[in-house]
Amino acid sequence: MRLVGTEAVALWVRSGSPGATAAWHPKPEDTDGALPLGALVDLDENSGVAHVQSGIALGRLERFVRSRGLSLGPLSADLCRTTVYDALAVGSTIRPSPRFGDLRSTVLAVTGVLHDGRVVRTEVAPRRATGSDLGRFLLGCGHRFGYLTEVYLRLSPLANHLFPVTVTGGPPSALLGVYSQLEDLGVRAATMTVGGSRDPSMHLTFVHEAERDLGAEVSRAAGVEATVGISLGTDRCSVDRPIAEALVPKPMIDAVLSRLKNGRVVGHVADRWIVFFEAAEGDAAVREPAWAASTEASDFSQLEAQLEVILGGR
Amino acid sequence: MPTPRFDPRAFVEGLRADVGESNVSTTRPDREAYSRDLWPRSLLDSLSGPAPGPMAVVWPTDEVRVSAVVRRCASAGVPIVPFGAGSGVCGGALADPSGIVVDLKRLDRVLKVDPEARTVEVQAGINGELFERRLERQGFTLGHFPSSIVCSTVGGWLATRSAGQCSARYGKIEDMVLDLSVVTGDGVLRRTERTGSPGLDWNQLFVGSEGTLGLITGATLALHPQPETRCFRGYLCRSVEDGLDLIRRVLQDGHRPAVLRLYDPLDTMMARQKAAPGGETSAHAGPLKALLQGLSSPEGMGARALRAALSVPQVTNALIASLPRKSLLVTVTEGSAREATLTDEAIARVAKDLQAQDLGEGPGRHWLAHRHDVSYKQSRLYRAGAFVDTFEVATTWARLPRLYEAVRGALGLHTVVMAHFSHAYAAGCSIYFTFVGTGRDVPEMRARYLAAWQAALDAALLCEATLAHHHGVGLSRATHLQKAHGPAVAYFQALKRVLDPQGILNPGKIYGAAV
Ligand SMILES: Cc1cc2nc3c(=O)[nH]c(=O)nc-3n(C[C@H](O)[C@H](O)[C@H](O)COP(=O)(O)OP(=O)(O)OC[C@H]3O[C@@H](n4cnc5c(N)ncnc54)[C@H](O)[C@@H]3O)c2cc1C
Repeated sequence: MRLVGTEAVALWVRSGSPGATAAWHPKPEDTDGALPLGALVDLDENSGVAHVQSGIALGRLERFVRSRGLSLGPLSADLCRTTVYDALAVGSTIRPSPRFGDLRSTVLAVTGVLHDGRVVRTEVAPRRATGSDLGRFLLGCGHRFGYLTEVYLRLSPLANHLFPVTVTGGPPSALLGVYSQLEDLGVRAATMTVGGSRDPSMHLTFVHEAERDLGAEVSRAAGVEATVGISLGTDRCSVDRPIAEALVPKPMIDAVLSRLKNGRVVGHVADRWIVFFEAAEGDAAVREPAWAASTEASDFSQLEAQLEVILGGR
Repeated sequence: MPTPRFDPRAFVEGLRADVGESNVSTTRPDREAYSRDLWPRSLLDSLSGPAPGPMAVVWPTDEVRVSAVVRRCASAGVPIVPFGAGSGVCGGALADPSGIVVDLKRLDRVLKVDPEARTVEVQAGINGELFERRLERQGFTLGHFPSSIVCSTVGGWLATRSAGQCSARYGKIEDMVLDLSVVTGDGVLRRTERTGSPGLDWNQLFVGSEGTLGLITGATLALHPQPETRCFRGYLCRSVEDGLDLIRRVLQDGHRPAVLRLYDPLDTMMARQKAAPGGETSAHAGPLKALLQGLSSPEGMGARALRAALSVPQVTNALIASLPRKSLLVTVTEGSAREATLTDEAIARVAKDLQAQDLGEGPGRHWLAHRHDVSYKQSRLYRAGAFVDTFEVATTWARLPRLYEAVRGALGLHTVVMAHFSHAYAAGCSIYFTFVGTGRDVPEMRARYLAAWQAALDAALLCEATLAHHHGVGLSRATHLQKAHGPAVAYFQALKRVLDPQGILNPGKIYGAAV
């Protein structure tokens, strides 16, 4: 079945969708390049906002907006086939950019179809302004409450170059200390990765050459090695292997990375580093350490299950 | 089985047992003081007599007591209106005579500042100014400076999606939240997951919910180091459009100035007159001069002149439209010396490109010194027989000019309108309209006030803009928000059923009677 718009999805749902048991979500199709719900609906170049259907592949969208001098921010080549739906509704792991944010943070508005067929639209706004952020609540829910069908994404001006620097010669926490110092100076890298035991180095890229040079200067002042480059750094966050993510309290980072062969830090949310790791490996390494239990968050799963029932998902 | 009759006395006694004798009041002065917030419409209503207050006012001193109060209310079906400092301007804290007000101001402790992690755990009732001073002493800032900082609380900020004057750099309050402690309508104290965790984002559900989904009792917020340097500047742009273009280009280039504040021609005239009384702007004659004088000192002759100018809003607005189109842009950049200077220079480059006149540091410094002045003149205007209110909306850059014209036109049929642009982002901007009106008597003033609101909301709805930017919804926009959000209201209703099964939390706020 090929559904071509929010209204079609709503009709399909109303006329007896398989509900939450359906494994349906927009997917790119190989055969003729045509994608269900895969259109770029509108591009507002002045505001830097793309209105897309959720089945559009990130790579296809990026290619198009690049031709207009805009960009979603740095994406690894591997992500090209990931759809906006996969990235936002299902929650595929997408590497965040300190400068441009992660894909979730670029969402300005969403349209979704609830399991009872009702179409939910949030206002297109530079920031959420009124009431609870219901759109945000459709992100990351998979299709438990409904289907995400359209999204407005904030774009950034396309950076013509990314200037890389590689920093080595210290434990991850020391390298990340350099990174934090740069942030205090107001310098935000376009991309950052700090590897674990397999690759004990920090790779940063910057939009401005002067920022790269400052990155090198601050590193050397902190007593670690810095090598500036003229080509782009490589992105080792492959999605061929299933990648998982965790938020690690900053003081625990050396301990956690030493247990993860392929773990790497890709950004932070305030006091927690965002770490990507291979899911199979991480299961053992990430669940076990003391920090995993340090969160005091309540269990919301029961509330989420109730909500699912009310909204007709099951 | 018949439901037992509700006994208010026994209920209040129960509250006293829950939180302590001295933390509950049913006295008339207390109930009157907690009958409303600073919604101008209730201010107008209060000219005809005091509003009915709540059944009781309760001041819990910790989270456990908040839970106990909510449980008691849930089992008796008694509505709760959460209360921060009552500085809200939308009626969000308007009391329900059949319910109680829960004032969270006694939950006022800073629990932990983590200098390494740069986070703060704070209770929700703390006063904004005191909180920021505490942080300042430790070398940090939250970066959140609403004009009402001296009379609002952290919980109120979170509940209304507040924006501070430095939002271009630090974001709105929702950008600062890492996790929340919330007592939901079933009386359970819950703590949300850290922002950024996989799965559903409960933080962004409670933020902005204006007490309808839970009472926020505490939060972990992200901190920033105190800025090392500040650079101040002012530019006279050729027009509002030029000024907006300047702001857009600076932000889309990835710069993060602390303040980018653009005034429309009337606001520019007022701002410049305040900065240099007797200067070129005061040469304007007729109703405009009367309006400016009346707005700055609305007493005696000033009051009469003001009312005269406001009684013919369309004429006055037409005169305003004939003012020189120049618009004042005030900028403040801050951070490390390097960043503040680079950002200041980047703004200067775009300004030069757009032929904006550099006015030096003066306007920026003047703004900083006087940034809270205007807001507190409200009651003087009411005494002068006028009303004043504000309406802040937001949209993307491409839709902004249409929104500006539409709302301005709508408000201008009933009131005299000015505007400034003080919260901008890479993708768009908010517009802050101030409108002032009058009437021959209170009923006529009220009718004009309501007509102005209705027209402005209709216009914003038509332009598909947000119906607020940082003041929240309360009751002032509830009916229109229902129209704007359409079926999303059902989604909210479902959430409300889960989090507040008895429907006792701030009923009628945000989406009106529908929820
Ligand atoms: C002069 C003036 C200037 C202003 N300037 C700004 C400005 O620059 N930026 C801005 O954003 N706003 C501004 N405001 C509006 C107002 O100050 C904000 O809305 C503020 O966030 C309200 O905080 P409060 O503590 O006073 O909340 P209240 O007014 O007491 O409550 C506001 C709403 O939040 C709910 N609430 C309060 N505390 C809690 C809690 N702990 N848990 C759950 N719900 C709660 C209430 O029920 C109500 O619905 C201004 C107001 C005035 C009067």
